[in-house]
Amino acid sequence: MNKYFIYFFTISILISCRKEITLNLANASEKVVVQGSIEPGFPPYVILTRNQGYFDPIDSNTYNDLFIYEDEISKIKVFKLDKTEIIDSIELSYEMIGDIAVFTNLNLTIDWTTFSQEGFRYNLEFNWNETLITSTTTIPFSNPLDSIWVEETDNIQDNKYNYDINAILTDPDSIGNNFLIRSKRLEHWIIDTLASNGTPRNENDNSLLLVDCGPDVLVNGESFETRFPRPSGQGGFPNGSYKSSRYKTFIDTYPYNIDSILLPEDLVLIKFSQVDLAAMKFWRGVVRNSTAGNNPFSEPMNLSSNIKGGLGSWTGYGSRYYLVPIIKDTTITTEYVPTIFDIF
Amino acid sequence: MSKNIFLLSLFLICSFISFSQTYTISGYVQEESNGENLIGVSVFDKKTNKGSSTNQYGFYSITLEKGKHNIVYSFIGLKTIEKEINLEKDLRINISLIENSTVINEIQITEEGLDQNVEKTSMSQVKLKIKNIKSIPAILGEVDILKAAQLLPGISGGGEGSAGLYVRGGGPDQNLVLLDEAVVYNAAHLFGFFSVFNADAIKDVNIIKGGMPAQYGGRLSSVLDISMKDGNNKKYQVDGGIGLLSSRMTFQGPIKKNKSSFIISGRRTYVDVLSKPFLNKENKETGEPNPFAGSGYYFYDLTTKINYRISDKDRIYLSGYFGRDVFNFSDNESGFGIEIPWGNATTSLRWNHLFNDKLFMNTSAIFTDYRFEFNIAQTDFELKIFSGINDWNHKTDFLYIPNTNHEIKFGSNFTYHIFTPGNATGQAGEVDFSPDEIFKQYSNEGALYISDDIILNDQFKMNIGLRYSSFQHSGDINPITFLKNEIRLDTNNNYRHIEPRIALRYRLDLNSSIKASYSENYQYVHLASTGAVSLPTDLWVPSSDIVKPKYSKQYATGYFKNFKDNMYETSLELYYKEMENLIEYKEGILPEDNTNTSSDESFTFGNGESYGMEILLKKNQGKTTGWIGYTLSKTTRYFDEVNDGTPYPAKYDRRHDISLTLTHKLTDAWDLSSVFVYATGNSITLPSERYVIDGNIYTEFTSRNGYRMMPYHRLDIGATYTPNKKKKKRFESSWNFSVYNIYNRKNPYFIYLGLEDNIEDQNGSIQDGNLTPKAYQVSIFPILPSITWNFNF
Repeated sequence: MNKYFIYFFTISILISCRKEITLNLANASEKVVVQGSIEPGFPPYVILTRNQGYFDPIDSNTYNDLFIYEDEISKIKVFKLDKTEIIDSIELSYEMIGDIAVFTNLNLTIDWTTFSQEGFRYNLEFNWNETLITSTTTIPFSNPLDSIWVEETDNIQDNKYNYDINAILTDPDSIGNNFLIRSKRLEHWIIDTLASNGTPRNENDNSLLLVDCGPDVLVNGESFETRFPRPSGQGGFPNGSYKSSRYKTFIDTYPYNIDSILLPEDLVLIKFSQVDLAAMKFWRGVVRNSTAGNNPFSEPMNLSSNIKGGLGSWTGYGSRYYLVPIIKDTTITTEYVPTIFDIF
Repeated sequence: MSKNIFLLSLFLICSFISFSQTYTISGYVQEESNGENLIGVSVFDKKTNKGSSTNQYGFYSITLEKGKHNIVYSFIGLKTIEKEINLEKDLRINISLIENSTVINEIQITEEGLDQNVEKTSMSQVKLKIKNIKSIPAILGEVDILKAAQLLPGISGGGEGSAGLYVRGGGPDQNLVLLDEAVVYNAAHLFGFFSVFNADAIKDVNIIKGGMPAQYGGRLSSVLDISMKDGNNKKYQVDGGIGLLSSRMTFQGPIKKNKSSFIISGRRTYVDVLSKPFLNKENKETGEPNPFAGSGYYFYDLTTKINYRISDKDRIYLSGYFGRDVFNFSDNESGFGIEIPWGNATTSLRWNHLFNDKLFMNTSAIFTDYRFEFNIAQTDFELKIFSGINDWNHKTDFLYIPNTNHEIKFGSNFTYHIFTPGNATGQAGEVDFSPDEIFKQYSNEGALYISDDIILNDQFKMNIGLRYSSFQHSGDINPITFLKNEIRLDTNNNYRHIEPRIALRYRLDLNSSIKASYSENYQYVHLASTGAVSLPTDLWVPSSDIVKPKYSKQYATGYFKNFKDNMYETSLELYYKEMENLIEYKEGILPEDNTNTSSDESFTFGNGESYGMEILLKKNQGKTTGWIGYTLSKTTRYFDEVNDGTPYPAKYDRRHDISLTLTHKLTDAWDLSSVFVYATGNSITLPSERYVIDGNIYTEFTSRNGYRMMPYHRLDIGATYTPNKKKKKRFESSWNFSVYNIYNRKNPYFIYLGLEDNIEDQNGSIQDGNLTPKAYQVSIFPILPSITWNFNF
């Protein structure tokens, strides 16, 4: 809620002055950044990058320089635990899945429905720069949505092209069912910028974008209706401006600048997950950063990592997937069974 | 050890025994013009130079040997009265002091009797004169007690424009802010820019930075004891002022002359009223709807007090304060709206009783309420978050003055706290997210104290005190549930502590002394904040089996010297303070994690340390008056779970802090004033590194408060024009002109970092390599002129 106070401070700043300054900050020590995931029925995967000094220059090579490759680290091991006892383990290797470079295990002889299971704990372990990096996560039991449907949006009047995905969900009657929602448009047809062969171009999302994450303190044990807005490009609830140039075929009668809409005939994959407390704290921080940015009035807070020796998160997802075509009044009655390409 | 205690006890008992015949003179001292009781009037026997001073209610008592005495009543700015008395029995003498015509053309800034700062055992204490506070230039002309207090050594504000108080390395929750004995939990309006106290209704401000006397407790760092005016009991009087930000009006007068009086004072801002034409529902010319109609901000406060003198021995006072801030934001296009009201309410009912000429009692029943609400609504969705604290407080204080060598204070204090630490209710469509019961926590806080101000000989004086404090936290069990269900409270939540307080004075000569003090304090309620500035969203939480009471011990010593009949006052103080069980939110925790439940698991605990030197040079009389204060200090925090367990500077650690306050009487009509402040920049936390998650950039803060902002300094000037001041007229008015930050210093308010797009109108990304990291410093309050018209009739 503090962000609303920022409105007030913003007014104050109208009579204020901003100037660019040069800061002499201490050099950052190099750290590994882990973005790892494990969910039932699939092999775990890990994306490894490194941190940089805040004022290090950003250029065309910066992004590629961030990634950590196989030659820099020891084998990545994932241990399956039943309470505290290790009952299984695997190793991850460097692979390309589609366009995404990850450490994973594509061994077809492993039954992933047996290895990656709800209710079990998974430890991650590897060496990097002579430092042992470890983490632990749990795959919580998943919780299905009661129902999910497409509805013409109420908020944007006189615009027949915009829809919301609404759902009813029932939170189990026990505290600690932390939810995490991701979505991606598998199909998103751009009409105004035709592909070279003259047909509409599918400008789908590359990966599942984070919509929201949080605890169930307020909704514990309740059954209620909610909305799954389309995430902005940075993830989290949309806060950017509507790119009128991108959708100009639709905007002739469209006067508003709202980025949360879904367009007709989009095909949207919803991933509704339960995560453990440590993962919730991390991903909630990601959402907060995406939506509110750095609030200069709050005590600076780092993303709450569960990686010992590094940054980032190793997250177990108890997930349910839903494939939602954006067609007015469509109700989805069955869950979607994802492929390995859908979980990224 | 036990032998020492026995000898000390024997000595104290002996010192009470008087072998000669003695009688007591007692009474009240008031100001002739308005009947207000005067606090701190020096009352002494000229022959023996022994005496006392009036207490918070204007009462004094002095016991002397039989015979002739010349009793002197003195108070700077008022005419000294000397009464020749042949003391053959106990006497009750009420005195009225009148304005001193010989100094009418000068300004006095001390609110005490002569040499009180040298004579008293207490150190690290300052009294502020309201008249003087009003003459100091202020932001937008808003007279502010707390901002004036920040000009004293050892006290700093939170940053540009802030009314927060940070005393000797303590946090904002470590100050006991009392308004007519009622605790005020949030002393700021407008998100911390202005204090809640309307100077027109205030009589006395006493600030204690260290060596807290035993009658005060429950906070580690300081006491800000504010007494409201009683109301003019001679004639009806109206005071008011119209400023750029707010207007105020005070009405006071006798209900029954010399018997009973009242005062009622109100203040309201009008930014919302002035901005209304710009926030109409629709544009009058184009007819287009205004999406932000209904947005705005205002604050108001109302202070009132009635007193009644039942007899010469009994007086009652009923006083109250009610203040609210209200912030609204509406976006009618999307149906989105926020309303955030918050504020304090206090009520104090007090009874003064004189058992005899040596024993005075005040007993009080006090209610305090602080609440914060956050209401948000959009279409079918509503959310209400609220928190607060209620106190039901009863205290009784006795003052016993057996002879001129002793001034004994003792009493009790009990508070029943009801905390509402963070509750939420909501509605989405037809579904309510309301908890079955609002989560509340209940606690009992009690204290017994005794202290004695002892004159050992002409040089030595000491004040020894003991405070026994206790706190019992029953979690969510209220007394009614407790009685009904016979639930046994968890004894782990019981705390009992002895808090020793000792102050010594050694008088070098009539005008100089050296002093030392030692005090231990426990604090049982805590303010949990995630903000770099104090916000009304901050939560008050009780001590529990997890949240231990805060504890501090402070050592201080000082040298005090006055020159030229009190024209100049100087002091130099050194202090060292240790603090334990300080509280912070754990990494990754947000206050809403504990909605409708206890926050105890959200906190991490650590210690703190502060030491420093404070110098004050004051000119009390003459055409030019004022003071220079300088503080050299260092404040450090030690938390195992913060900053990787390494020590870090506290948020408002300041190595150097200088303030210069001057007032000058130019002519009968014109008074000039100025304030200059210089302070080492605040320490802040900045990110030192960045990394990528999901293709987006996040920052990592590695060194808590590891960056020091630019030094803060500014000069304010003010002038007050009072036409025809010499002619007494029924209606009088004055104009106050002030300029804040006259040389337009761009003081840093905060620094933020950002990644800017390299190409205009195109979103940059780290993937495309078209971003540039940048740092910006934001300043608020450039040069700000203001004008205020004040009047009275």
